Amino acid sequence: MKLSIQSRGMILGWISSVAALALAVAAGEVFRPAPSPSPSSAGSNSLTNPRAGTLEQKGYALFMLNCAHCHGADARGDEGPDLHDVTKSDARIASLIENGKKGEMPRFATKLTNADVKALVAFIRSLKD
Amino acid sequence: MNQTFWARMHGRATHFPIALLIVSVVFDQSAFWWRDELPRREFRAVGFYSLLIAAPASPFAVLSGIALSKGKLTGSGSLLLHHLFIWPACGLLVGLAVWRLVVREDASTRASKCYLVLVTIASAAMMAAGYWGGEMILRG
Repeated sequence: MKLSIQSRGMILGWISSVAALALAVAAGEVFRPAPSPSPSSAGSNSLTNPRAGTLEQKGYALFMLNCAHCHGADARGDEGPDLHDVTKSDARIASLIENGKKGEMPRFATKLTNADVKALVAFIRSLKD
Repeated sequence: MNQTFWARMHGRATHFPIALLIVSVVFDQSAFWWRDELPRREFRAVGFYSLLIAAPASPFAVLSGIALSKGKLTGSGSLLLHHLFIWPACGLLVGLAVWRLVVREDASTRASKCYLVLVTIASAAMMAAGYWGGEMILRG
């Protein structure tokens, strides 16, 4: 059976496409750090969504969109630190969110409103070990 | 190699294939809608070679991105949105480049139309992925 050039192109295109994505998955395995058992990561690896309508719930939604990719979806830390049982004052946390930390954390002052920052602080305060 | 290194590498490696893919789509679309045959052929050639350079350049962007996110293929928040767009865009880019390399000028009108739709979707997905990538870097 002789395939037309278009069919051959399509088959090869599919194969390359799948191969490229398989390569990405394999690279994911290579670059993923080995899990290290630590007391901070021993707990649950996901957060429970706080009660709807509360400030914490709003903070949770903002956290998932803006902070989770650095602090982890469970807020146990990844690129950024673990946010459970933070000892800093509310004002200091708000200032860190708004102004960031040079070379470590981006500033959110232009992206988030004061109410958003307040909600995030409330959410971070609700995180307990 | 630390994350700052990979962040720099990712920044350098991503813009090249994104720009080339957009150029390729613009020229292919122009070739499709243009009336005169001579510019059409030239536009198609620009579209073809732009895509042909964009596809092999994309693995560098992908690998540096995976290293930067420490092997995460999905993630959460902006990173998840970035990945939701980049994986289909990347798969389409490589697949379409290979298809075009094999078919060259022998594509039927129907196949060319399908190609144009798919490459435009790939380009839009790539731009959306770029937007969410920028959101992570510039505004967290």
